[in-house]
Amino acid sequence: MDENTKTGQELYKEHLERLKKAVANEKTDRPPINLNADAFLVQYGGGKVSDLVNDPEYGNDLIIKALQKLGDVDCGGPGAFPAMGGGAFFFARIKLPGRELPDNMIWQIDELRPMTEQDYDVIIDKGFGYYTEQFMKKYFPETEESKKDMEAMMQLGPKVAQKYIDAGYVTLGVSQEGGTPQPGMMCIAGAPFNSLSAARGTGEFLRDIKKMPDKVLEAMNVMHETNLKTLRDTVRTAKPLTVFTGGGREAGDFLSIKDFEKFAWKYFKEAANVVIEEGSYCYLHLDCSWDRFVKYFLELPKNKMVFGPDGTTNIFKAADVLYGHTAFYGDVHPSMMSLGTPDEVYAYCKKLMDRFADKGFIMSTGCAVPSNAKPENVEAVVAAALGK
Amino acid sequence: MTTAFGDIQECIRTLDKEGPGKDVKVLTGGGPVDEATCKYVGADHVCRNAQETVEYSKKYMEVQ
Repeated sequence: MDENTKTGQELYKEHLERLKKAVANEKTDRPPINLNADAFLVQYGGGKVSDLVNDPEYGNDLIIKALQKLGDVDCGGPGAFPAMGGGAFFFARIKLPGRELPDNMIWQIDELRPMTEQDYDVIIDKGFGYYTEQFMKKYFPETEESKKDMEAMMQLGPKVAQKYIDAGYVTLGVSQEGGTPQPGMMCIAGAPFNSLSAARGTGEFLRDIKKMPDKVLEAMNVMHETNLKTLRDTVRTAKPLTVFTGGGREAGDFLSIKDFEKFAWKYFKEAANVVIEEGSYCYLHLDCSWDRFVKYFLELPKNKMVFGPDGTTNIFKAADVLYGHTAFYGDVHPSMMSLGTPDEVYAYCKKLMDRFADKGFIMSTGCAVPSNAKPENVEAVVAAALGK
Repeated sequence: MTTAFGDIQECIRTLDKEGPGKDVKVLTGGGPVDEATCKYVGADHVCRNAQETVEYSKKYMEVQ
């Protein structure tokens, strides 16, 4: 029976079992395919990126159509709703296609960097939740449009998620029992480093680390305690297969090893351990170059993580250290997806398959599929994973 | 960032045509940028990180 004759329910079961084996670093019949590609897929399905903003249900219908056109892709989930881009996470205004931007432009983050040096004391005395709430009141007062966006997300979210399930698609954050966790049950883990870096701006924040390290650490400890409690409660309730465990600004070239250990890794490791203790797997979504920090993941339990670099970290060198310890996810470079040829993409995917695909491997691109990826390059990723 | 590659290319072409031309070295970088991008946009060098940018610049400017 091929995928064309299977029901959505049969496909869902098959995709879920394959994904579960891959994240547990076990053998699979072939790598599950996960495309983080809403802006690309909505266009591949015949629409515009702004369809995801102006009519999210229609936009997501187009994504499902696009996934079906690509072949037996395993993973797919709802594309971004406008309210999800509210900006709080990045302390930014999010400019949206079809509103502030042209129809086919990808959403843009316009960082506000609202946090001052004095605000560390506000966080220490009153908590990061209080600080964020004040930020939201000042920069994002509720409007008719934001209310409408939020209502649409709450109403449409479960309906749209069910459409993906009915079509046979799973997500990395799928509930361990199958199905999608309810809205509000989204689990994200990481170090406070990223939030503070976004709130202060990278330059100012790195200066703070040198100028007032004790104050920064005190604020981080306050934030971390709250974050860990929320994370544990949410993971325990939602029971997701994997939790998005993100890192970016703490990697790359911004920190010395000593500062990485002190200001980032300590917190990152504790957050990852909470995810693992609660029975989920960490999907390590690692932006920037983690080349210098790969060995640190050996400090976390074996076979409980999926190592997902964005194309910048050398995945093959990382495998020299982590193969057998984590599953792998990746990682066709965004530049290759938008500028390369299908032959180049296919060859790179085969190289990934040769190194990783005997067990615990998820085929994907680095971070996300660019919205201007060549369709034939995305088709090449799928073809390679399917062994065509 | 991949959606900006065309604009970067145009910017570098304008620099070559109307700006100081070959006296200026254009360095490019960032997560989605690699050698292929560098060639496509017409930059002189792709820097994987800030340190590499400094090293390249020192070499070009003949600074020890």
